[in-house]
Amino acid sequence: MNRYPESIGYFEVSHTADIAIAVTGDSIASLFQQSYFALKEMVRVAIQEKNSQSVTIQLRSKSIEALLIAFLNEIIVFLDQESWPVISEMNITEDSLDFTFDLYDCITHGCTIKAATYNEVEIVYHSGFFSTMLVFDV
Amino acid sequence: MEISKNAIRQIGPYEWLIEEKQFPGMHVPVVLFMQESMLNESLNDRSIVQAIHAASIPGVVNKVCVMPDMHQGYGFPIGGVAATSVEEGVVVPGAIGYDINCGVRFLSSSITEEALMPFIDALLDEINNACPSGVGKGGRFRITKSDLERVCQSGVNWARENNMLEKDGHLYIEDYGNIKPDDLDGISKKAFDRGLHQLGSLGAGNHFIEIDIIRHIFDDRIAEAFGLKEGMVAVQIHSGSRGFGHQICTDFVRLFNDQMDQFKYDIPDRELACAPVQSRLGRRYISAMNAAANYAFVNRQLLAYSVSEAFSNILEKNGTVSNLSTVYDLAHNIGKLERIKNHGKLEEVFIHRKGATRCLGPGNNYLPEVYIKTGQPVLVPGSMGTQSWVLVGTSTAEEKSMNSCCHGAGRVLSRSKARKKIHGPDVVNNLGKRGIKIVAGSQRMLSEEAPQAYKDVNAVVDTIEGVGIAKKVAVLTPIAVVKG
Repeated sequence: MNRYPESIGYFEVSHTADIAIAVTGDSIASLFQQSYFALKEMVRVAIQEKNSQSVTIQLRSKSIEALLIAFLNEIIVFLDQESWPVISEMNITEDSLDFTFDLYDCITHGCTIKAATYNEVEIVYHSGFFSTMLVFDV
Repeated sequence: MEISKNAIRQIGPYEWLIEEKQFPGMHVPVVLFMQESMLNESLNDRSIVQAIHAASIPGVVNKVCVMPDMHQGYGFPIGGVAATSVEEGVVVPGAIGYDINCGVRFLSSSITEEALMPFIDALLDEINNACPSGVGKGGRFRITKSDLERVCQSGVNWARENNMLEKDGHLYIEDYGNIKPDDLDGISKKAFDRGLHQLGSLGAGNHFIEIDIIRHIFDDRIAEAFGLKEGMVAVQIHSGSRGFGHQICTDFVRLFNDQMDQFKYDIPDRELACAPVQSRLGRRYISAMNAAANYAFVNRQLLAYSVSEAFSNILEKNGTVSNLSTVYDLAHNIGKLERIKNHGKLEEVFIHRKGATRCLGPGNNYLPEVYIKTGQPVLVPGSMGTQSWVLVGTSTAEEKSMNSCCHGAGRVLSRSKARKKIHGPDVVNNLGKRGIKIVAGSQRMLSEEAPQAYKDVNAVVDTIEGVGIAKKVAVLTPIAVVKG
C-alpha cells in the first residue's frame, strides 16, 4: 500500500499507542483542509448550536509543517472546551496561517485526542499532490 | 531505518544490547530489558528505531534503557529512559510526553472483599459521579487563577491548605508532591485557561480508577511496611496533568522547533526538539513542566479525596468503615534532575522517563523516611481486567536501569487493529463473566483498551524481577473499573 493516499483524502495508518493518519491534498491549503476533516472524523464531532461570532486566529512559524501542527492543536484546544470551529476562510503562506471561523458547541463520539505531534510530520510533494503523516497523542 | 535482530546482542537472560555506533548518530548504547518474544514483537513497529533515536539526543549519557512494556510512541518510545548531561545535554519535552506527570496513586483500605461486595454497584456509581471523565471534562472543584498558581508553585501543599490532604500525606508521594518551579512565566494563558476547570477530573484514553483486591502477598515484610494485607480492597488511580500539561508540552515543542536553529542540533525527529538544560529556553520549559507535575500530583490527590468520600458515603451509612490511605503516588511521564550511577560514578543528570517509573532501592536518599528501609513501592497496573502488581525497588536498579522501572503492561495491538478485532460490548460481557464491573466512556475505548490489546503484565513483571530491578510484593485483581 502507498504510504499516502493517491488522491485528495486521508487514511488511518497502524500505530501501536497513538493514532496516525496519512493525508494528501492537491495544494497546501487542501492538505490543511483534509487534515481538519480527518480530525473531525476521528473525534466524530456532532455540531450543535453556534456559540460565537466570527473569530480569526493568526499563526506564525518557521515551517509549513509547524504551522499545520499548530493549526490542529488550536482545534484540539476548542475540542477540550466542547466546541468545534467551522472555518469560513483560510490564508496560508510559507510561514503564516490566518483562519476565520465560527465556534459551535459540539459533542464527540470518537477517539480522544490530546495533541497533534511533530512525530514523522514532513510535507512531501509528488505528482501534483502534497502529503504528510500525522501522529496524534491519545 | 530498518532494524534487524542481528543488530541486537543478548547480554543476559532478559537483557539485550544495541551497541553505541551500531547505527549512525548514536552517542550511547541502548539496553533493552525483555524476553525474546517481547523483543520479536518490538521489531514489528518503530519502537526500537525510536529507542535508537533517543540514543542520539545531544548530550545523552550512560545508556538508553528500555523497559519490557515498551511500545511505539511519538518520537521517543513509551517505556524509554534517557539521561542527559546537565552541563552539555538537552531537555526534550517529547521524551517526557504531553501528559506531564501522568502517574498512578495507590490506596490501601481496611475493608475486605466480602464486606465491600454488597455495595459495589452503588460505590461504582458514586465514584463515577464524583470523578468526571472524558477529554475536556471539568472537575468538581472550582478554583480561581490564584488557586491554580498556588497549585503550580506548591503542589499538594495547596490540597493540605484546603483540607483535602492529611498532615503527613505528602510523605507518600514522589518528591513529596511538590517539585518547585522557578517561576510560572513560561506558562501560556491558554494552559492556565485549560487547567482552571479540570482539577479533580480523570481524563480520557487509558486513564482509570480501579477497585482491586490484594490477591496474594509475595513478601510479607515489605507488604506489612506498605500496609498491604491479602484479601483487602485497594484502589488505583491513573491520571495526569490534563489539558494543563498537554498545553504546556504543545507550547514548548512548538517553541523548541521554532528556536532550535540557534543550537545547531541534528535531531532525527521534530518531536525530539530540544534545548540545552542550562539555556533560558530549557530552564523555562523545566519550570513549566514542574508546575504541570505539581498540577498532576494535586489532580490525583483530589481524585483520591473524591474516591475516599465516595467510599465513606456508601459504606458508612451501612456501618462499615474503609480507611482509605495512600500507599504511594508516582509519576511515569516526567523529567528531573537526579543523581544516577554513570559508569560507576554518581553524576547529576537530567533524566527523562516516558512511560517509566522511578525505582529506588533501600537507603536511597530520594526516598521518604517511611520507605527508606524497604525501598520504593513500584506500581505496575495491568490492562483493563487483568492483574496489577505492587513491586519494591532494589539497589540493582541504580546500576542497571538508572533507578527506573516499567509502568504497566504496554500495548501490543495498534488501536485500529484492536477496533477491528475486538467488539466493545464483548469486552464488558467477558469482564462481567469474571465478576468485573466497568463504567466506560465509549464502546470505541473499550475495544482499544481491551486486555487483548496489551502485553501480558505478568510476563512484564517476571522480566523486571529477572533483571533484578524490583521484586514482587503483591498482586491485585480488579473487581470494578471506571475508564476515562
